Amino acid sequence: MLMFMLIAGCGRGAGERATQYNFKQGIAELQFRLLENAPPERIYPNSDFRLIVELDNQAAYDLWDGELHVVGLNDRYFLLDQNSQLFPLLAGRSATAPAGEKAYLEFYGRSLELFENAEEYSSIFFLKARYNSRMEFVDTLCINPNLYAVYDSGCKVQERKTYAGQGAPLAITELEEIISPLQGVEFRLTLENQGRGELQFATLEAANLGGADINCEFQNSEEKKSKRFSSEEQEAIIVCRASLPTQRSYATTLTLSFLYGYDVRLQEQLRLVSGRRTAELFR
Amino acid sequence: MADAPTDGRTTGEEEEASLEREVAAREEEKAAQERERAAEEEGRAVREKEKAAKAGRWKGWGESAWGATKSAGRKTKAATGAAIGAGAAAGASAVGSVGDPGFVLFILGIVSLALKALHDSRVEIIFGVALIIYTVIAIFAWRGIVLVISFLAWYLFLGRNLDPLFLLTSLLPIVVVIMVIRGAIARAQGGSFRQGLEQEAAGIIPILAFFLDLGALQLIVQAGLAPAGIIETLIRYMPWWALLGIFTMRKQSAVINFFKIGGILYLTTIFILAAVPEAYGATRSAIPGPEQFVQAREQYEERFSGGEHIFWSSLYCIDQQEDFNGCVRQRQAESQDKAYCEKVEQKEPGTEEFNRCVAQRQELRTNPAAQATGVIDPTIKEPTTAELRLDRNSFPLPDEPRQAFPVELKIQNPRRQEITIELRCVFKDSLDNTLTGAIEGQSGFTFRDPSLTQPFFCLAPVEGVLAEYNKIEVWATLTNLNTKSRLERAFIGVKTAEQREKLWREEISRTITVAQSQAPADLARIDFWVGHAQDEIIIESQPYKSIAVYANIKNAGRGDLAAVHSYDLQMENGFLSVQNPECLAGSLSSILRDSSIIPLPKCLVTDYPGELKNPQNWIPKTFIASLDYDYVITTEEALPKGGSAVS
Repeated sequence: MLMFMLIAGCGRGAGERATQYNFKQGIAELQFRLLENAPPERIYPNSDFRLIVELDNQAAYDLWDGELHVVGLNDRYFLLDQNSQLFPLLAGRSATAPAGEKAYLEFYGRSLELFENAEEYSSIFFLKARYNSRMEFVDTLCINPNLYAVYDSGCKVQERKTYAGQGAPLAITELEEIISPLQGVEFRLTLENQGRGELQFATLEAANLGGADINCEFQNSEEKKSKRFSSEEQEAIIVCRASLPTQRSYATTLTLSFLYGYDVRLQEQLRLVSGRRTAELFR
Repeated sequence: MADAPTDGRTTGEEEEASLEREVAAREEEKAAQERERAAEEEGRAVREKEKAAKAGRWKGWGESAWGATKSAGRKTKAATGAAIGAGAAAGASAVGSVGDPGFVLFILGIVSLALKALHDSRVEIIFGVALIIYTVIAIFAWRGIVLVISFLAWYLFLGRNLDPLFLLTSLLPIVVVIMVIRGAIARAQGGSFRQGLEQEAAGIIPILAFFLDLGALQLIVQAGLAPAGIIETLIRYMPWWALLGIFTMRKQSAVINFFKIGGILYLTTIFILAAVPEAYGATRSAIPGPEQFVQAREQYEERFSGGEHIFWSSLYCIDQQEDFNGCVRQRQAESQDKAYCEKVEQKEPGTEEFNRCVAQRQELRTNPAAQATGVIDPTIKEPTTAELRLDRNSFPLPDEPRQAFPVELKIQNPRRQEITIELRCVFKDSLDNTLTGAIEGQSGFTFRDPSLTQPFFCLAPVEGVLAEYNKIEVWATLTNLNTKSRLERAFIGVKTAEQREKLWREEISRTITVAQSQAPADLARIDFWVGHAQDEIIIESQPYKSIAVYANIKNAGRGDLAAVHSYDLQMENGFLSVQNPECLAGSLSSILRDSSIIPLPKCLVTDYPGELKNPQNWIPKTFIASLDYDYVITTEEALPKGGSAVS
């Protein structure tokens, strides 16, 4: 336990400044939770209560078109003034907002009577958030068209590279570089959902290699630049192809930008208890 | 007369010499026997030596050789003591077994089985918790204690929370940290870290036994999983704790081996003869609480308990080569119905009431409406109950001028219903002729108290007439009773099969855990379901999927339904549109007095609110069924012979 606390407390080390920190790494996403006492642990029949949801954008990108739904509350026991709310644009973590942005959504509710002389009723329900966001992948790669050169003073090609994320729940996790002297270079990128929720769709906004557009497409997708995901299949392969301008090896930057839609769910519980039972406990 | 000796010795001397020769011969024979015995012992000692040499225990050879030598001296006594010794050994092994934790668990497992007859879910759960803790401490020597305690805490106190985030961020880290400490302790004690972790995994066994014993498999069956027939057979016939006890007995003895062999034979027999029909639907998953496990088991037992053991049914049908399975099923079903009517409904076999009960049970199996099942609502701890009791010990003496028989009426009315009571008593003779008694005290009254205990007397109307009668019967008719049942369903609208499965798996199954209607443990209730099939919680808005309403009135008490004033399945007025309005509301003009289940009209739903036809996610709804009825409870006692008081 001591070791665990020490390791957790170490953090990133002193002296690292927010301006220097690259937020677009790792896996990060929208976090949300119910505030303590909203709702209270026990709700009594025919009483008012509130659900206050705190939304905290921990991703490195802004979120927009957000909706939060309350699903699964039985209106025989609990009534809410509304079952869903929109939430505003939430800025992502950046040098100017290293903690990201938070928002609070409030739902007003009223409890009804318990069934007959039941002592309590526990109801599991879900908070489901849906939003759109963006993710950018940037990496410097070595391209060496001259596969059989004995000596090349340029860069070294890495045929396969893996990545730990780009600061979003959607991530490029793997890149494969295939060079064909006649056909050019082909990049195969693996796009995966690494967050807690479910990826709905992803659209390739832009792709360029060394400042010039590169042709990239989703494999096995009706639309080449976009893909809809099912709950069983949460990853995709993107294939990018470019011709080789020179026969010497060189390092260049590959940049891909995605728009995506994401759903995430949180399970919560409301407990309706009989006031009579509580009174007996305190008698 | 012997011939005279010829070597100069006298007759006496010859005789003496002959005697000496005889003695010498006997001694030689004895010495030869001793030599033979010694050779035998030496052979045994050599064998012992070889045995000890194999094990590398030279000291043991010396000891066994010494033991062999000693036993040679006791051999003559061994033969006579062998029979006594064998019996003593068997008895000693039996007595010795008592100290074996496995044997104790075996006995407790049998007790646990017996406790199920009480049909008290609380007792079963408490005993189950005690058994699991005993098992992990006494049988597994604290191995798995962390796992078991974590499981009990999650299961009993943390609401069986299956949220992955909760499991990953709250429960799992605690378990992992403590198990790491356990591994470290094991390592410090000379073992290995991995050994410590592996020992902890032993906790899975008592957890599994806990689940199986409390009725997990019944609940899985009830929830619509499709267990193999073999599994269903195991449900009915397996004392899980006792079995675990048998196979964890440490001591070896004839008695224990007997039980082990018996257990294996029992398992083998059940496996071979399992012939239970499979008639269940799609796979589900749900984690209800322990009370619902027990209720499911009780409900299952109510339907399928008692009756003939499958072994005998199989033997009976051994000649039915063409339809062996069908024959066994039929025989099992008939015996279960008879056992239920005799033991649960307490009808005497051979009587008209018994035959009617058996016929009703058969209808239960064939009429879909009658098959609508319900469970006791675990959130309602105080149902409406009524009980009549004749105090046999206080019956009047025959010479008392006033023949007054004391009766006590106890009613629990937690919902403060306005109940009207009417009391009646009769005396019956052996030909069922009756003589109406008079009620001393309030024979009819109305009350709203939450509980009532009312004493009164049943008076014989004519002095001295009781000598001709041998039974007293007392009735209490309770009118204007009301019991409500609730049923939860999930409306998902139009979704693909994948969406439907996902919603069920990740959300609906956690919110709605009970597929049956639930009601307090009152005297009667409506059991009903609404949807595409019984126990189908999801209602879709697909044109090819019809929605049905099936309901029946269940007599859940020990008395009889006297009248059904009204039944009402409307959630809200006009919520469900049906072609046959009697299906949703009505009354019954006449009912069979001793009916345990009264099917109600069934129908298909033709329309329901538009908001439920295509929600973005899904919407839970609760249906409420209300029953207004009259109920009769009775009690009877045999009058002492000649009408005299109890001696």
